[in-house]
Amino acid sequence: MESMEADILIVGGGAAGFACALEAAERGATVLVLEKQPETGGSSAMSGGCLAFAGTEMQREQGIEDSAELLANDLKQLGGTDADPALIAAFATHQLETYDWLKAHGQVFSPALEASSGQSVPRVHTVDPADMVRLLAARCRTTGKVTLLVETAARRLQHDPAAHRVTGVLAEGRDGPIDIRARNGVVLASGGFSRNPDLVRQFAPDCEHAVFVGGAGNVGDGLRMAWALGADLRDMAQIKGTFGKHPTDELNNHSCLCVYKGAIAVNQDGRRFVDESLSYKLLGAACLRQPYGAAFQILDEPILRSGDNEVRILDFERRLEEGLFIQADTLEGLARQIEVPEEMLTKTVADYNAYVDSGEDREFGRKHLVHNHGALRRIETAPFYAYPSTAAVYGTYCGLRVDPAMHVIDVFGERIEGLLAAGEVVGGFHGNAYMTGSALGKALVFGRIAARTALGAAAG
Amino acid sequence: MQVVVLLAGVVDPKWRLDRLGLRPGTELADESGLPRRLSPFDEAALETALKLRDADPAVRVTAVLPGDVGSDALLRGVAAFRPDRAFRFDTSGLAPWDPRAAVRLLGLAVGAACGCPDLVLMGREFGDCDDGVLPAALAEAQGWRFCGLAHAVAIADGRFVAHRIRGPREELLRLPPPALVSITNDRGNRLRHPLMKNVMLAKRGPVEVVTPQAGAIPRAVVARSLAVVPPPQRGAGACRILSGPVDAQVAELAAYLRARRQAAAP
Repeated sequence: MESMEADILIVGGGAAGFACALEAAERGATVLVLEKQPETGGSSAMSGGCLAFAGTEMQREQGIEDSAELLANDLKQLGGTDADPALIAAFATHQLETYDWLKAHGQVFSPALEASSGQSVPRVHTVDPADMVRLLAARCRTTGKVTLLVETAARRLQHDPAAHRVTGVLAEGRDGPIDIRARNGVVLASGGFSRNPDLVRQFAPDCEHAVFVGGAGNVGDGLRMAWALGADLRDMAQIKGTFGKHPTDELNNHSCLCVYKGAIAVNQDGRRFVDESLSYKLLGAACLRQPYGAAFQILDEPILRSGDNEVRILDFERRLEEGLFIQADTLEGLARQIEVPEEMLTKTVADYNAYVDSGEDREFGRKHLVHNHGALRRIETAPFYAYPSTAAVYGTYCGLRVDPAMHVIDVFGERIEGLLAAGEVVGGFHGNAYMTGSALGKALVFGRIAARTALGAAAG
Repeated sequence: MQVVVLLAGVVDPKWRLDRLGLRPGTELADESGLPRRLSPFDEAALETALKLRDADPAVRVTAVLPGDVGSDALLRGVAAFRPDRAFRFDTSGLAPWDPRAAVRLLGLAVGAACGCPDLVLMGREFGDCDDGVLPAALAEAQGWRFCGLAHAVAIADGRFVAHRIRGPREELLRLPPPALVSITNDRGNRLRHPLMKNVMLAKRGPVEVVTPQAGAIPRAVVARSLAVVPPPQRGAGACRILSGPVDAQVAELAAYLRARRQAAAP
């Protein structure tokens, strides 16, 4: 059997894996990255490219007051008691330096900043996510310390039971098995399990009707390998679909969130069913409880034109050009097209407009466009539009229990020495809901923390 | 106003075709287990029919999908667009290799949809076994007026107005019924998306199957084998698809371009 050795072994070639690899290489470590797919990028490359950073120079230049404290408060408010405050603190503490680190490596952000799910102020910093992963991979190559093995899957963690320490992995490459030793630790950055129907059925039976989107390799490899060593799990009951996925369109893999610009969500009966300013995870869960597991976002012309073509989840005009919006000159005509009762839809919109005027949504208590941001707006100017929407599971947002240094923790609350995790395979950070940009942000921030921890442990 | 739309269906190109051959004991290509979907031309024809009904509720749309039981999932997908009627015209055991037999089969399928159609719509190419001749051949065999390669159809004064582009010009052909129009795909006839409600209802609903009489379709051409024939070797300078890891492809392409630049330098 072929054998290899490195200071740090990283399982998964997405944003978390390459952020970890680059951080480690810049600190002088040799790194081996395993990617079982022929191409790197994983779910990170497929994502909306949104990064939640707070207190950045971009925000300051645009007059947006934000801070690590406000970011942490938003995350705590969203995640509820299930979100681990220590992980939130770790993210909030290190996110701004990660933004600066990315910029220093040449990452270019879209100039527009948007407020989206769970954000009290506009803090969505948008990138082309596939380009970002390629940039990190390229920077890794230039260090000369990172070796990438594609089409090489980690099969089992190598474990010294006496020391309760992970020493490497048994991998399967193009030419057969490889025994890989990791002197300073193994970092699992292998993503979630949205492409594993058995695990999804086991942990998220409520998502039976949801659409599943994610990297083809997201079948829970890292989760299961750590699980086999007794790793504890977090947030497994919190898997929810994200609202806003067109239920029958196969070309766009991203949600469309007209509700965060002022649209309302109605079900097939023409009735609202939720406070549309909530996190789109909660909207997704509410949507799946509606008839046919689907809904419509209802909006008018000014709301449609208020979209942002630089941000995938707010790119309304492109979707209009692709024929994904249903359009009519009257609400009655729109109702006929989407086959909801005309009288009910017109009443629902009229009631909502009255709530906007009075400042009080007596049905669902909506106060803002999104989270604590933005004033509500009437839906009144033709043409009117409907965007068919259901919930899609883009990421499982749950997984291994880790401490703020990214050590994997077992079911007895003890570290599994030599084993760290970062990115989507980590649980406990999001809790009950989800903030736009926190998954891709978490990949980068936690990936870098894992690298530092592994090397610090070795130095100590 | 009776509008019949004939849909071919093709193997979903997103799936890898691992084998190419005839299903044992039949003349059918072995596509078992592979999902089918509408071709772009099918979609354009269906959307054209739905637009006619949108404009005039008196239009009755019947969608016909020739095929065997492997096409039932696709038929449910068609039903989600809520044509007035959708059925599978059972072609189990029949292969569409023979254009003459295929024309006969499609004529029977239209007849099963309604005795006297006012308009028959079909894609400019009907599935994988058509050289673009079936629409014209069907119209000729049935004695219907014909327009090929239209991108839109309207109804005016009891006639069908077919729009098509010919070079720099747009032609309008006025056809009295009965007529057959083959549709080419165009930005303006991109198939709408079905409502989720109708997708779910169609999944639960029954599938209507119409079976032609045995021996109703005499055939002249019989398929004995189906195989991949390697393309002929190309000469120097021909195109080549780069393969392997992306990095290696990029490096190879860059080396090629550098060599070209050096060769072109004075």
